[in-house]
Amino acid sequence: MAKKIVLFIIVVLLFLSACVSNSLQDTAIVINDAFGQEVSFSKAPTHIVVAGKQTPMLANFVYLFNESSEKISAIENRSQSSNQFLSLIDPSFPEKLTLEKGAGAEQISAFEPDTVILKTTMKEQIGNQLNDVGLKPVYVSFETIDEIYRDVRILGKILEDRDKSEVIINFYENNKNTIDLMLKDSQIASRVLLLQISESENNYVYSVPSASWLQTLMVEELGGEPVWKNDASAGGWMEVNIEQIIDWQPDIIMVINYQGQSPEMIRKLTEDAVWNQFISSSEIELKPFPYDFQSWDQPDPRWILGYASIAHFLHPDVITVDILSGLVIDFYHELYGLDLNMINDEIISLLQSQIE
Amino acid sequence: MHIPVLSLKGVNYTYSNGRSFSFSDISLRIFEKSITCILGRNGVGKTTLLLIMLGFLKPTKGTVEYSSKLGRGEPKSKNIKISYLPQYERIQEKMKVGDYMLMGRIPFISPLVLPRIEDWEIVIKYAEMLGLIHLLDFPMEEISGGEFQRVRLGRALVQESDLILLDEPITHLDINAKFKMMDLIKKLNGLEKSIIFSSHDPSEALQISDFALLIHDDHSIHYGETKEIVTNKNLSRCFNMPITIYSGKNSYACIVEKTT
Amino acid sequence: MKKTSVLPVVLLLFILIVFASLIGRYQGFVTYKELSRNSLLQQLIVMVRLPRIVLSLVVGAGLAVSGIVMQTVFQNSLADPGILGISQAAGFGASLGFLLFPTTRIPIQLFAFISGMISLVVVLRLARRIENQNRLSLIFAGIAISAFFSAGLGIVKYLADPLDQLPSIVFWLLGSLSTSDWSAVVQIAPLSIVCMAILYLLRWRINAYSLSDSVLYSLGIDRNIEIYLILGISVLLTTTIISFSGLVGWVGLIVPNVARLAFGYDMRKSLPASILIGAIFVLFSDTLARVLIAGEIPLGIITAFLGALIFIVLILNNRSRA
Repeated sequence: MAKKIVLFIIVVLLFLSACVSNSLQDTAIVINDAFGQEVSFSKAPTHIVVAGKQTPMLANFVYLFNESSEKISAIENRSQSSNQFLSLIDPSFPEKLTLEKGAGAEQISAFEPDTVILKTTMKEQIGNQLNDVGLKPVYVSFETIDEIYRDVRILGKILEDRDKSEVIINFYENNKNTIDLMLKDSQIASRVLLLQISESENNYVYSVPSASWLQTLMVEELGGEPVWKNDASAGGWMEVNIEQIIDWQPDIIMVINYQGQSPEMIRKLTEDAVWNQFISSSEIELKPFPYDFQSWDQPDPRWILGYASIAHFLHPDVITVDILSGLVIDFYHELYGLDLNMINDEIISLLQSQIE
Repeated sequence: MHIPVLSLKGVNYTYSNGRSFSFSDISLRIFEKSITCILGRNGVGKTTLLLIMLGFLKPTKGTVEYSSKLGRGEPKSKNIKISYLPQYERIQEKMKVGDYMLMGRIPFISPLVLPRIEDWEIVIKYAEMLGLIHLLDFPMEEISGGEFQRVRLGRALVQESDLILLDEPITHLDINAKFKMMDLIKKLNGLEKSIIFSSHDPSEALQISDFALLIHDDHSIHYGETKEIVTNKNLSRCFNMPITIYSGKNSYACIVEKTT
Repeated sequence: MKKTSVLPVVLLLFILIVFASLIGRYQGFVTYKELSRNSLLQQLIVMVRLPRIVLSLVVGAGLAVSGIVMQTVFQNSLADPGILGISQAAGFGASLGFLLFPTTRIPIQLFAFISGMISLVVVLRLARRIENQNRLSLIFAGIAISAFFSAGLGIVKYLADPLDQLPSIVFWLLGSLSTSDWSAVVQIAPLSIVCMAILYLLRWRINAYSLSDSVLYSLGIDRNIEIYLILGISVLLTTTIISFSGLVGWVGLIVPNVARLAFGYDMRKSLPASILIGAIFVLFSDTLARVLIAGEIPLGIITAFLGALIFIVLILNNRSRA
């Protein structure tokens, strides 16, 4: 009888130890993604795919880390300008553009990735199907400043470079704090309108961003009053007509254009009779939101540049052009590792007409 | 009475949907101011023949010629003088009787203008003649079958055509209306119109038509003056049944003698 | 049959026009006093609201006339350019035209018209080939063709807009007049009005299409040529409008039925009535579209909503009478 008991205990112990060692193996990396869900990897992913509608911005974040060049297998081909930029960082980048635009779970799984990085909005469209196939998507968001810090850390974990993620976050925090500090005594609360103007078939379409998006939050954070916030839809961009724009009585309109044509849009506006009258009678400022490979208003690593731009537009005497230019150079140098010449040639040149 | 208004020369017709049906060479002349009855069993091609006479269907071989009075044979020309009343005519039920009759004036009204007072006066004139004045404001859906036939004849009169083609105009009417209709046809003939109508009841031919055209099952025809053509023998062949004609004082009946 | 006078309708239209010019997102409904001292408001009314009002009248009248002509010619009260696929084909053509010639507007209208004509011919041929031809064969053919061209429109938009950043496709499929200005009026209105005028002159003639083909022939109408001419002008009217406004649906379907209900089946009355009622319907809808909320509501959504409501009323009305 005693022998049986001992045997039983030994078997149980062996079983338990097997379990323990298994789970130890399974939890080499555990990530809490943007949905708060746990995703675990037995070893760090070395074949990573980035996909979905916001791929350009996600890719920009991923490439803040040097490991990307080796560890990224494929990136969805979505944006000419983003591709151009990332080719500056990584000459082998074009080879990674093997995933066609709009790719679904099938095409993605053909790459046999260890993980797929997706924006939270892509869960229904791609993420769930990837789960069904056994692939592990990691969701990121980047839609608020806190989310940016959190999600940068997530990327750092996946790419096994926690040090770099802290460098990035420090850069963001320091610069944001500096700007906030410099603006501490500036009390003017301007009525701000962020207006996307897109040209389509010789017509202009005006739209305003969602109330919960990063752009809107940045305006508020900087003490501006986002005039469209109460009327904005919860979903995406909301189309408005010029009457509504006038009715909001903005003091300053920051014009966004995703083809990089914001100065051009402003120029065309001033040629229009109604806009002309509106601008002159209400003494409104029109500012082009800067764009270099990517508009700075987006949930993209450049958000800090967008933040500084809004600050500059609202308080040009405190956050001067020089400060802004300096930030741009620091950003590309410290975070992306570009040398000063390259920054000058490729980036500053793009911004000539946009930041006076 | 001997001037041809319409002549068919060697007309053949084959249906395009594969039914290898055709008229054998038909050559005949319809005379001015005559009443002609086309007789034959159902499905033998009476409607088809009428449509060929109208010009709506083109014969696969042979020609149809019209007297100059009818215009150059193409109803497109300004002098359209052929009216056609189909067996089943499509109408807009809410259309008023007067407006329907006004349609007869289409050949005279340019597409880009509205009917004139004169056109409406012509409608009223013929409505009076046909006893339809009280119906002019009624929608088509509210008149009886007999009234409908009179209205359609009204359209033909309003069109001021010289040749009127009628597809089985009498067939579906009750006895009362039948005789009224036959009277009406004679009356139109009195107005110097040529009339061709089809039927599968030979007594109608005997009653009012001057000429008869029998279409037999094998698509051969007999054409000539009614009293010569419409005989027991010919009718029996045409309808594949032994038929005897009985005549009363002013009317005719065709009886099938049952053979046991 | 009701004998409704046309005067109250004209009056309603006039009142609506005045009302629409005085209301907008800027300051809501304004009085004359405000109007006389605010020059920006005056500019807005003249340069922004008025052209949009004019275009909504043209769109409404044009689509309604197109609808009533098609319904009478086909003797089918469910026919309209949207159901027959002509609107979708116009949208496809217009967006294809823009893809190939991005700078001028003329190719857009031309491509839209050619597409529209192609779809008309295809729908007619297809309907004829359907076994057991009845009222519904035309509708079935139309559904197939409209789906085909809608898909085509989607493909063209996908190719034209790889960055997925233009709001165009939503605009196209739902219709909008938000980009109206006087240059658009110049490009759309004259041709549309000419087409409407021609169809107006033909209004009694079009009544004839309720008759059998053989009877038409006997009356001297060469149905094939004339029908393609009349439908061709309808298609030109429809495609000209749609090449600017996008797919605005339900107008051509609903307005003719309402016009016929109120004014009878004779096109001499019901066609002009359609012009007025169509203008009122779209002007009203577009005013809601630009005023109801801060954002622009696509016009097609409002016409669909109101159109569907009226459609239900029409159906119930029909049933209780039958």
